[in-house]
Amino acid sequence: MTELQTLLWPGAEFAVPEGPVALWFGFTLLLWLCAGLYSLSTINQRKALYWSSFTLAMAGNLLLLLAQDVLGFYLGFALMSLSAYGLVIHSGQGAARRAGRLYLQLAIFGELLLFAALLLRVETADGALAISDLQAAALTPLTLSLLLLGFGLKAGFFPLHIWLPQAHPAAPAPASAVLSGAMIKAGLFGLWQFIPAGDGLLLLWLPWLLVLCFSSAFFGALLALLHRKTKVVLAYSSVSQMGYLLLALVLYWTSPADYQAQAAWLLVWYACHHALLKSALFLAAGTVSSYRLQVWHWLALIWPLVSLSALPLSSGAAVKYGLKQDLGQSIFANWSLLPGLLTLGALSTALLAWHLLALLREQHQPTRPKLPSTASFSWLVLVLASLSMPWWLTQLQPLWWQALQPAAMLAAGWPVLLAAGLYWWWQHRGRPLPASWQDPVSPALGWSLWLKSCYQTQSSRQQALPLPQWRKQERRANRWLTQQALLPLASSTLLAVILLLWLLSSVSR
Amino acid sequence: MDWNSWLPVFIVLSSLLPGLLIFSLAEHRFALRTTLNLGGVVVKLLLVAWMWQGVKAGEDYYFELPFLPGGAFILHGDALSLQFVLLSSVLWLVTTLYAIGYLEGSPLRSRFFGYFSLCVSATVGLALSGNLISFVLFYELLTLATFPLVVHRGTVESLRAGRRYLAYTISGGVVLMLGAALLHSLTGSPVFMPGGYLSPLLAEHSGLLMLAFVLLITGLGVKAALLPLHGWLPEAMVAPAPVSALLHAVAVVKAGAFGIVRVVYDVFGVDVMQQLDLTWPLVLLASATILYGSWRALQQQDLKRRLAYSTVSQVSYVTLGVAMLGPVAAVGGLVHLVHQGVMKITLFFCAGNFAETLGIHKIRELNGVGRRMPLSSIAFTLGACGMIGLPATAGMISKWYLASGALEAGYPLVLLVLLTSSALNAMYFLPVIFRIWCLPAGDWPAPKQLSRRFETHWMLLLPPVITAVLIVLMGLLAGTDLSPLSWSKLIVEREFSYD
Amino acid sequence: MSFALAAVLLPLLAAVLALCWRSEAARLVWLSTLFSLLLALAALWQVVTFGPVSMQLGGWQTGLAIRWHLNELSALLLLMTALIHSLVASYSFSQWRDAGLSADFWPLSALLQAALSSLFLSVDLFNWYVTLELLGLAAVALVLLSGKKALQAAMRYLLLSLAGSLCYLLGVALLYGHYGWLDVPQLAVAISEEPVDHRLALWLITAGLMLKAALWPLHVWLPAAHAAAPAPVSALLSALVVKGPLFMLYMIWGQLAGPELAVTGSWLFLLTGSMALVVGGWSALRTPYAKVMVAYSTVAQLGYGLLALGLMLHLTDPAFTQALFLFVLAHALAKTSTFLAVGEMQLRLGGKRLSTYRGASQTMPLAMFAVAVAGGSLIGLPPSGGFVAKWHLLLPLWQHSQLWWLLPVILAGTLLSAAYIFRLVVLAFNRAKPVSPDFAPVLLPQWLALLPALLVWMLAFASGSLLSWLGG
Repeated sequence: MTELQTLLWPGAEFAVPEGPVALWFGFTLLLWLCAGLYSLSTINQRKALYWSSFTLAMAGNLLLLLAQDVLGFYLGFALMSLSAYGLVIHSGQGAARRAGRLYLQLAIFGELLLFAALLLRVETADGALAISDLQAAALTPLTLSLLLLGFGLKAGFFPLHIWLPQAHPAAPAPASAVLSGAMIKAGLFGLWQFIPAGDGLLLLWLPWLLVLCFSSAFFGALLALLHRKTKVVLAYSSVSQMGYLLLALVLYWTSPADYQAQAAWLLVWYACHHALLKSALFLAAGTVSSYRLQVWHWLALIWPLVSLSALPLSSGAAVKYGLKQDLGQSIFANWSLLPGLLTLGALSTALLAWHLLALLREQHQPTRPKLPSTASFSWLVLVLASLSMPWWLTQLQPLWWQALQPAAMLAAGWPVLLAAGLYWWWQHRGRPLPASWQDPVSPALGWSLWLKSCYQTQSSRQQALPLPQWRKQERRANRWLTQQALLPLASSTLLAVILLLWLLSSVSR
Repeated sequence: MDWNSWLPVFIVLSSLLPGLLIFSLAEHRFALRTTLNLGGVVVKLLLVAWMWQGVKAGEDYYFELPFLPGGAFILHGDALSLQFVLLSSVLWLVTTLYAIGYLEGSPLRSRFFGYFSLCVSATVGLALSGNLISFVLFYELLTLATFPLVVHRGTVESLRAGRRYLAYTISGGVVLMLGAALLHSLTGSPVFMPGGYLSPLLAEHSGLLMLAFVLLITGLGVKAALLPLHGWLPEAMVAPAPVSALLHAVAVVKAGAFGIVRVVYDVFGVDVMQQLDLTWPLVLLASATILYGSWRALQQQDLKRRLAYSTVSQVSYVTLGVAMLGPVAAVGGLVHLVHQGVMKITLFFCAGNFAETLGIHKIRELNGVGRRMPLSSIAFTLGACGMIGLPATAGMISKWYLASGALEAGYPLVLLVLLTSSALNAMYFLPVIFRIWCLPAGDWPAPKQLSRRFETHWMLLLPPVITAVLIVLMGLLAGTDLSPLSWSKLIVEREFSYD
Repeated sequence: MSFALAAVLLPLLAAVLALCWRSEAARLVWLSTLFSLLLALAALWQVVTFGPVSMQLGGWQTGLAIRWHLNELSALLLLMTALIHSLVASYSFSQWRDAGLSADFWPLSALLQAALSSLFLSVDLFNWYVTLELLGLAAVALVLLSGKKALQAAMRYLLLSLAGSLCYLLGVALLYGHYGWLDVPQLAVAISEEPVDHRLALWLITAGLMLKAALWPLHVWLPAAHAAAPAPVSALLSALVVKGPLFMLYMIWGQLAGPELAVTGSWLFLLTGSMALVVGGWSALRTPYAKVMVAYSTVAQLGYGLLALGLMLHLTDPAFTQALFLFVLAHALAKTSTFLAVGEMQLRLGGKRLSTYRGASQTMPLAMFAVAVAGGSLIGLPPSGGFVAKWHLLLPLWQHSQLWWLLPVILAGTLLSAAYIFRLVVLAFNRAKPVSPDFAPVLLPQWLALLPALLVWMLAFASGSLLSWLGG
């Protein structure tokens, strides 16, 4: 579609996605549509703001998936990030505005870093604007860190996650669903597209990235356990899951050439799996807080939790199994610590799932109004899509079957059971946590406020100039000049001048 | 008679003659005055369009009148001048519309529109001037023609601003004249040519050439609001909205920036600039101005003042682009000449609309304007997004080219400057947008019902809508043949392909 | 030559007739100025076509006779005199009764024109003395037309003018006593053949002429006199009368001073010129009265003339001659316009102070426009005549780097002139409390006041031929 370049911006190019990207595009679209359907009946105020932000963000998100050139991608990315601000502050409450401010500050900051990163990439590739042409260009430390920061701020893995736990609870449920399901994935998508696999520098940095993955996974889960608001817990769960997704990406980067396609597919499956279940959970959390749940709703609520804990039969089990398989193929295969860490991760995720279930149950009140049917429908669609993922995604089926092997089932099952026991023990037997540990306040809002105070200062008043002191002298001189006899003055000047000249010309002679 | 050589003259006259006629009109001849105004605009646009296709095809438009020994009065239509001519004529059209609506029923309109047309004539003449002498001539005329517009309100503040404006611009003009005289005494004033005409003097007079450069840039820097010389610009925003719009977008600041482009590329030329090592001071100056302007804009509580400081910052993008001497950076600078004009004029139109319709001058009074005046607010938002350089707007294109030009020309730190400036832009524009859209409506100082069907008078509404659409089109359709980007590329192709 | 002669005699005749026939004096003199303008044009055409001519009045031989010499320069100055006179006369004629101008203005102004024209045509020291004396007396009489309030200023003017004449006469007597020649070219030949110390004579002549031309620091009489006179008279005084002695200075120093003395003298002119620019400009900026401001502006602008003269002597560069006379021309036109317009506004708005002009852009737009346009030329904004003059001063200056300190001086002078002009213009745009006119403004005089200002802006485009005539 080269003719677009002569019509749109330089280098403009779009393509119908194929392969893994097509799946990515598909689940993103599905998420947006379901969230939109849910919003139709549940968003009742400030509709203009909500829908304009929603559609613009959706357009941006889809655009970045279709774009084949740098500028188009950046356009979509920025459109999505900035429009989502409207979704975050939709309620207009103080908390939402504070969260929105933080979100926007970081989004703008991320945009700028991303701009620089893309620019440097294009410069390294001699001005080529197509994303595919950038693959050949080598990374520099600056570019790589800019890319990681720029996309990372959107993807929200530790320690760039600080906006996530603030923004998610503030936004309406469907908005959080797309935010967590689709938009933070866009950051990951960017990393995937713009960092060439197998780059020398990247390989050097990989161990550190690995540290990032696991710290994100554990940090998210840990923080989630300390919080008692469902949407905050979900947000931290996203942070944790982004750690795994980053791991999948890291494994893709390190996998041998013949295995690379498979690794890419796994990344997308994981993203799809997480997107579907997380958006379903967010819708659930939103529903619980303001509507009454019916029995089948509870089923629709539990299934994503099952999938999150990677119990057999769920898509979670399949992708987790795939992740382990990936690990076996990658250069980290003989790092014996990693499988253990993964198991520990599974345990923490399961704990998180139990915690979440308990919170949801606690929060539910049967006296609330019934959920509108369109909203129920859209929620159900998401849950069903998640449930049936191995069936409509036939390529996933081998993994799914493998995850059903007894050994795998055992490996996946025992952490969940252990977690159930632990959680039960902790709730009923253990000592309660100190109050100061619960719902820890993130320092991020304070930073955001400080930043705001930097740029919203009151201008200092301008001081009036002091009256010139020479005015008086000038007046006196004027008076003297006009009132004294001018004639003697003039004639004496005349004489003096003549004398002076006389002397001057004699001297020069 | 050779029509081609007279075309530049006609382009200048097409606004000059209506202007002079308008002076003589009585105050109540509304219809005739409007006809003259708009007639002039249409004629000018047609002539410019004709010249545009001619220049594109490689035609040469050259008019010469003996003036001073060694330097004739030359009007010359080349690609670079046409960029500025096009910008001025198109924005003159929208600003005229706006001004007619803005000044409806106010006194001294004939005087206003007379000077308004003179101002545009001077700008266009400046764009078309073919050598340094003619440039200086129009540069001074521009100063004189804009002064009555700045003080049009005749209040104490506007007079103070006017005095300050004059103090700066006249001094700048004199310094520019000194510089021009210096160059003239060395080589005369030949026609501007790509690559400059000073290279033969390099060996013998390099000190004088540097002095001339400093003088010229100081003189032009006053209008382009380079760092220590920018003081008049924020004051001058007390002028009526259409004047501020024109001043900030086209007429005055752009005249300075355009002059810098001319001096760098067509008088000194890339080679001489490089051999005299004049590039980096200019880059440094422009960068400092960019950051300083943005920083000061942050501290302003008055909407128009904030916009004014933003202009200080944004105009230096143009200087920065040309100062880096790389072709890509030059494209960025040149295209920003147009983009900044369209974006800033939109912002000033909207600020004027808010002030006229609701009496809003301070930023804190803007709460909830978005629902009362949605179209103006959308236009304002688009303009602000463009200023930040967000994608899908014109500002993004210029920022991209400037930044990649900086990398290409070997100034990686400029990238940091651009990013910081964008961040600062975001810091001072986004809170405004937040107030407009996301806060509940406050008490507006003086709400008025100017129109029954629209949010304000249609003549006030149409211009910002047109320019806002242009902002998006110039951003999205930057690759088309008609876009400023393509034209800038054409200019750069011609400027860099000499010898 | 006959045209030039007629251009001198016609005003003389008009003056005599106007004295006799008082009721038609205005029309007579006005017509005579117009005709003398035509004659001066014809004289210029003649010179340009057939070359310079000399003429002995009375038929005596060289040395005794009154010798007139007509070359491009003198023809141009003749034309300038006639032009300014016709412009001022047209302005006065359009409204002299309304403005309360005395009928004595007409014969006196005609006499002034005759005296000045013959001054420009003469090349003879004594002849110059006569015309200079005539000029001074006519000028003092014209100042006195304002009545009692001008008495003090006029008396001061008269006394200083006489002192200047005496100085001059003394110098001439010294020269004549030694060489026995009054004719300047002959004298120059004599001096070069027999160089004796003639410095005292030259300095006396210079001091006298500087006093008459109100060159700094001998300008003290000028602001009061010019401000006190009626507007058309101020215009004539500022535009023309001070140019006569300046022309003589140029001729005398250019022809009689040897190269060494010229360099010494040039320092005088350079220093006083610089001081005139700065001090005159500053005074103009600070004064609270409009006409005093314009008068001080004359003091300052004469500084450019002095600078050009000094540079010409210092560097012996003919380019500065061009600059000098371009200044003379541009200043004459611009100052005429300024004084007429300011006088017109003073008359209608009823006040001498600058604050009277508040809101004048609304009440008297044309007159204010004239001030601004003429002011543009005084500042030296392109493409006015003042710009061309300043340009020709700057250009050669760049090539002589030893005099670099003059550049900041010229810069300061320009900025000061901009400051005082725009001080008035800014006031005129003050719409807060406009001063309403005492009398209804009439358009025609305002247009006539604007006319010289427009002419000076057109001067720039005629500068090519002007330069070739002045090129020497």
